[in-house]
Amino acid sequence: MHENKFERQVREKMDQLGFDPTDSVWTRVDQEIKKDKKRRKPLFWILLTGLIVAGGVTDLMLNQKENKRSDEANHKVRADESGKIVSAGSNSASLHSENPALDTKGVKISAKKIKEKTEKNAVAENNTFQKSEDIAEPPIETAAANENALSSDTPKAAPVSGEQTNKTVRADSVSGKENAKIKNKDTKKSPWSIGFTGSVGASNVNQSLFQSQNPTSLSYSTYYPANAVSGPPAVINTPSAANAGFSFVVGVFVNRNLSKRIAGSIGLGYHYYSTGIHIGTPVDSARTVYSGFALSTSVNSYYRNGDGKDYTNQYHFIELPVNLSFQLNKSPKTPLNWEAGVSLAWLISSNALHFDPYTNVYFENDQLFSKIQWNVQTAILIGFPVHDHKIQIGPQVQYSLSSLLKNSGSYPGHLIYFGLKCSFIP
Amino acid sequence: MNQSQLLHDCLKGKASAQRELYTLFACPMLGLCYRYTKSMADAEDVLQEGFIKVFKNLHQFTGSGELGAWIRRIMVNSAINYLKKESRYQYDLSFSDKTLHPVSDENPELILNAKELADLIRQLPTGYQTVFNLYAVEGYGHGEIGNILGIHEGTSKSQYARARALLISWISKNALDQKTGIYARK
Repeated sequence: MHENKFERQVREKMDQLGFDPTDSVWTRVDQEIKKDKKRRKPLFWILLTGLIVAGGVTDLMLNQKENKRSDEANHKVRADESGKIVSAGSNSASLHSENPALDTKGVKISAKKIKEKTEKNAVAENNTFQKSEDIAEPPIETAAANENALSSDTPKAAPVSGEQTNKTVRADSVSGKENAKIKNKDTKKSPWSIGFTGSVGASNVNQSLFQSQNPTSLSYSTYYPANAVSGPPAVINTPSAANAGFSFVVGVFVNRNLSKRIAGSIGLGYHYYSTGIHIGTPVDSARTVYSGFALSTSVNSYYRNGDGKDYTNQYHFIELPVNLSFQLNKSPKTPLNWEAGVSLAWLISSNALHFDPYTNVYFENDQLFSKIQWNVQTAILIGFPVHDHKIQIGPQVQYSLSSLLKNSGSYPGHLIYFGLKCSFIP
Repeated sequence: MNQSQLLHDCLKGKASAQRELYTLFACPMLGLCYRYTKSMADAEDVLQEGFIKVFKNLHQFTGSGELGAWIRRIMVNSAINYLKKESRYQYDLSFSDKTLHPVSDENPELILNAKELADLIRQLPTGYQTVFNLYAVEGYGHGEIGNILGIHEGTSKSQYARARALLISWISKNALDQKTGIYARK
């Protein structure tokens, strides 16, 4: 560096130069900083709202399930009680019957039939959910009581008047209707079910779906600055090849059966992508770099090209996936589903580096990325029940249709993800 | 409050720390912006843009150098971007002259104060002014200046030589005027 006396004097003089800025400068700076903070707030609220809604829906659904179980238990108790009333009523009616044809043998046969039917019902009741028709049937102990009462020569039960019997039967039928109504209400399940999804795998930036990224693709090698009179550099500098990096997805979704074999879902999730590159030493210094279509931009720090350091390009996305699921087999216990769909993703932040071959440096600038990405995804999932819950697991592929860079020209980069997906429906 | 604590608080978004950082560097940085522009209003605009960048990119400061030097580089960058962006500076900023001019060996004694010298620098055409500031005051090499401004290294050298010669002639004239004035008064 020149150390002429003149330059040294100029520098010394200029180091002394200073002015007090007017207050309006700080006011405007302060406003801009606060504005930037405000811009970040909506994202926080969106995420928080999403989590609260997801939590609320889960809680609601779990409560519904709990209520349903307790109601079913109540129904069983009520059914037992109403069955006893019906049997008591029929006993009275039988005892007061003036039908001469009703002999002891006949009574015994009919009682035996009732007993057989009741036993069958009892077995069925143990195996499956209690049906509303079964509720009207007398339980075993009632049938036994009937048999005893009817086979006996002398009636043990006190005589009941016809009016009373009618009242009892009417009351029973009313309570039966109510029960049926409650039961129908309870069995009316919500068509939507909530689930949680997670996926772990690897991501990379591809040239296209089946073509991996050329090392120069994410740089601006084809463009050279319009105001650079020297033209493109004599040697085209190439950046490090990008290696696949760790990636994962977490999210919630709501699912609805559209037909016997087709289901639709919509969700909200967070997707982390990463790729690995090798770079040189960091430099804390201002520099003009070229960032596509000859646009020059200034950076305050950059990395030299080289192999000295491993760097992870990270991309953080919020995703809104919409999927359709087709059941490929007929097994209700282990359904094999093909899932396909699209998702809208929003890049919330990234530390990924851009390469400028003109200056042979890497620099960070997330403004150069397309913030909105459209993805397509597909997965093959096999489902199996675990206790009362449904779990699906299988391979998943996701590909971004949008170019990762705003001004990528004929060298678009597309994010691609391969992973193992697992979804859980409580 | 020491610098690292100040940085930490600024990164946390503490308004008082941000104000303190601004107060600490605003005065010398406005002097820097003044040298690159043609008016105090423009200099304040550059200062404002520069400080917004400083606060938005503070997380990028790795601490490997002086914070003041880092802020200074941001200010220089902001000033150059401002000159490129503002149409009234663009005509003057063209670097069409590629002929190499030798740098003179003249080293006149500077009897001017800082503001007077800065005012003379600001009278240079914007291209000369920018290259002179980058080379003589900031200490960048011509290769770096070429990268920053997107020009040939040779063009930077040529611009600097012309700027220096012009400035020295003005300084000499100024000194002569002052002497003449003294003699006339005597």
